[in-house]
Amino acid sequence: MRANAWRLDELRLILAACLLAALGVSLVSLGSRGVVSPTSLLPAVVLAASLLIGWLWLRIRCGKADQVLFPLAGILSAMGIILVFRLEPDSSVHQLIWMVTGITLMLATASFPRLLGWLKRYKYTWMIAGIGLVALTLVFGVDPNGSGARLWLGFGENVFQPSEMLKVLLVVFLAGYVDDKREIISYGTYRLGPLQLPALPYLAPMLAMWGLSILLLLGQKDLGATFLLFAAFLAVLYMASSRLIYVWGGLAMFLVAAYGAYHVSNHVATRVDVWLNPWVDSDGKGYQIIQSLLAFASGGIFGTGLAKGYPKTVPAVHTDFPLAAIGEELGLLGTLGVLALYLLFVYRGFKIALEARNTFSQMLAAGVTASVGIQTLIIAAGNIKLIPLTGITLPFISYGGSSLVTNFIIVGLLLRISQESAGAP
Amino acid sequence: MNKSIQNLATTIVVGFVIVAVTLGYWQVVRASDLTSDFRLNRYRLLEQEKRIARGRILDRSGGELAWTEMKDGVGTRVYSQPYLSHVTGFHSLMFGNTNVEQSFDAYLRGDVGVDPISALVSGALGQPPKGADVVLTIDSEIQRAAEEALGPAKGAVVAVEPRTGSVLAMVSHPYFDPNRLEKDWDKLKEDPGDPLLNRATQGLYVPGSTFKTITLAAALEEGVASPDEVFEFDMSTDNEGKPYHVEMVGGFPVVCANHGMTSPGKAVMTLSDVYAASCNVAFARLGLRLGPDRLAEYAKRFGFESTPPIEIPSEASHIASSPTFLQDRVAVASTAFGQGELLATPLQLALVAAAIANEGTVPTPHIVQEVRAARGLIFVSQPKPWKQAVSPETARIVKDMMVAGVRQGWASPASIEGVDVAGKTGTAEVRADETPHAWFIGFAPANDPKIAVAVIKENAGAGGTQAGPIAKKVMEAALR
Repeated sequence: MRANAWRLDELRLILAACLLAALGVSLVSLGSRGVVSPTSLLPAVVLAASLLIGWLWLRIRCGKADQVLFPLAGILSAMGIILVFRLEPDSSVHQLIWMVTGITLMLATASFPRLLGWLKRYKYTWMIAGIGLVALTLVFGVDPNGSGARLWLGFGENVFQPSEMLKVLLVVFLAGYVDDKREIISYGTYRLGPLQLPALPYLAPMLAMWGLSILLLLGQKDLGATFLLFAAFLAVLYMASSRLIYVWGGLAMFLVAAYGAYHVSNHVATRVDVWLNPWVDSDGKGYQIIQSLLAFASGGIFGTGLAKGYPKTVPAVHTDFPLAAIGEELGLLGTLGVLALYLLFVYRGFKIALEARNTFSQMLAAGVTASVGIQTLIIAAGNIKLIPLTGITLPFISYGGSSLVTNFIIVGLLLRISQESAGAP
Repeated sequence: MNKSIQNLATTIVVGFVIVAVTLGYWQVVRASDLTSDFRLNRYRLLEQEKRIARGRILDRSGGELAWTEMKDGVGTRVYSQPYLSHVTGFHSLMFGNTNVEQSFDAYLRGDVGVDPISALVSGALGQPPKGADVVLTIDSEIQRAAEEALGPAKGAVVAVEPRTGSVLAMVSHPYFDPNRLEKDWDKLKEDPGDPLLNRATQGLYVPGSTFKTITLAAALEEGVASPDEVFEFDMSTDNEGKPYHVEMVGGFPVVCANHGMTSPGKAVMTLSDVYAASCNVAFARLGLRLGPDRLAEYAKRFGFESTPPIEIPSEASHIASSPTFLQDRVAVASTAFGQGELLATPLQLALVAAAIANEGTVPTPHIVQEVRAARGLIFVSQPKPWKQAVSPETARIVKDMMVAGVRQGWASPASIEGVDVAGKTGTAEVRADETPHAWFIGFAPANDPKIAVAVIKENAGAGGTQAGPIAKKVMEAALR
């Protein structure tokens, strides 16, 4: 009990994250410049300081919250910092600032006593705010990296990608909505001639919100986020109802939509063709995915060692292909290790969901956990040509502020839920 | 609801397992076949290549000819002596490697001869892989003298050490600047002067009278001529009062107007005299006495029809372009005095001179002396004979006749004060409307040969006056 009160498990894991970060940046520094200067250790120092401050804060304010999630997020962010330091050293200061911002918001979320009730009560407000922000990108969107899509909102130097936040807000809304209408969604039927269908009219507000989000993201050609929102929606619906018909129905709709998109949208058709056979155009459209596969292949089992490979031959490696860089320099052991960390994260998330005190908390926890897990799967599978590539981030590791901040807020939500299920305010 | 949360979790775990198995597929099962596909990997290999601190190329006294400057971990190749471009070759990520840069690439890159432990340590310390230094046999003093002596004319100069076959100088003009290769490539490709061709080892020229050295050596070795044989000719005088004579060979007139030092009437000349005077008629007779088989056999013994085993690309020299050519008596006669269908590289003719200087043994030509890695020498070239052309006795007689040729024959422009120089000129007829190529081959000092040279100046005229002085300057540089 004493150890729990002091959150010593968490402290030990945080020390492991600090050690990993220090080792990683030292190796990168040694490998690329031949020396380890005190300034090159700065990223590790900033990471260690923010994790330790975070631990201290949780120790004081959320003593009963889960002790594994925050260090796990810390270890994954340490991987991200090492990777950015390796691939785009000039950008590592940005990643550090975002990490500190993310941890701060995580601590605020975790220690906000009335947060959950407040989230549920104003669910429409959050949802409409999220959709509104994404809609703003249609008008004011900027494209800071030249990716071809204007998915960001700019505030001077800083940019923010609202679709990242939308996935959390959608889960909050869905959890809140199905919590209210759970009985009807689970057991209600609606007769359409001879067919017995689920209670469609009661799903309408939910479908409307979700449909609006999907249309917006499609309009922005943000296929990864569209797919993620689709999957998260089905996940929450299934959890709430335990009815597989929603899943099959959803998947059928998805296949129809995908087939249609393939024939209507050049953008989608290109992505799918490149996925089906990149080898015919290995220097053109297939270049990125093939270079990614070559990065994995040249890493083999043990990898080339940090700063010893050539992951930068993969375009956009630090945002869209971080797993390929890990695969090349840390090998199969590195990629499986990272997958194991995500699995552990997902395991803790679902554990919190199962232990949560009320349905809303339960569905919120399971929903955000599933969305992190599914997002990881979408980008990892895209990097290894299991599914078409979409421009979505690898949680905590990819270079990018909105994603990092959002994922830390998810950790904050999970910590809050676990704190409450332990009966603490 | 707990049940459905568990199902959802299981689905996600299954997804992770599929991803993990696929990772194993790409990183283990397919790893070697993907990484060995050159076409797909060329971008990665290029990145790898840029980061290698390639070894230097040095001349025989350690002077830097080529080195790699590293900036931000990326190397740039620098060449100090553009006129050695045909020896060093170039190192270009766009156009590949040539010559020594190509043939010693594995050493220069550090793939060979660097011990694995120090490679591991330097790799861990972020130092770029470091290649070994290749030391050439080139003597920069002689090289510079050859380059200056040839001047802007098209042509080539090859100088070798007769006993070892070490190439002391190799000039091919025009040359290119390997520092600007990628910028100049299109221009170089179009240039009618063909600056990318190494004339010294790949330029095939009619050897002209320099080939008489082989005919002479063959005739002496085979006993069809003796050193004290006397030749008699009936000389006539042409319109300008120049003496000449004609002899019918196989119904075809062989004209010789080379006897600059004889007066009209009956000429009586020794074998040494006809060699020094470069008499086509006398050599046509010697060729016919030898016959096609023995003439070809001796050309081969001197290296014709074999590609010289030098470390840079080179061409074999040819006796005839078709195997049936020498069946004709006129063809044998004209081949014996250096025309016919003969084609020889300057390197091959330098090796003919070297063989006479080296008691009849043709040395194996080489241009790389040794390779130095951080831990010491990892390659040392061993001088060895390439071919045995003629006996030491025959070589000695030919040598004396070559010395006489420089003392009192057409080859006298190559004479050096106080040194016995051996030499033979050539004025090779090319096309009717073109000025002949000027040739000179020779060596010095005759009693203890330090250098053998071959010089060709394209379309320059008489070998003695055009090529002789160039050879003289090159030999002087070596004897200094």
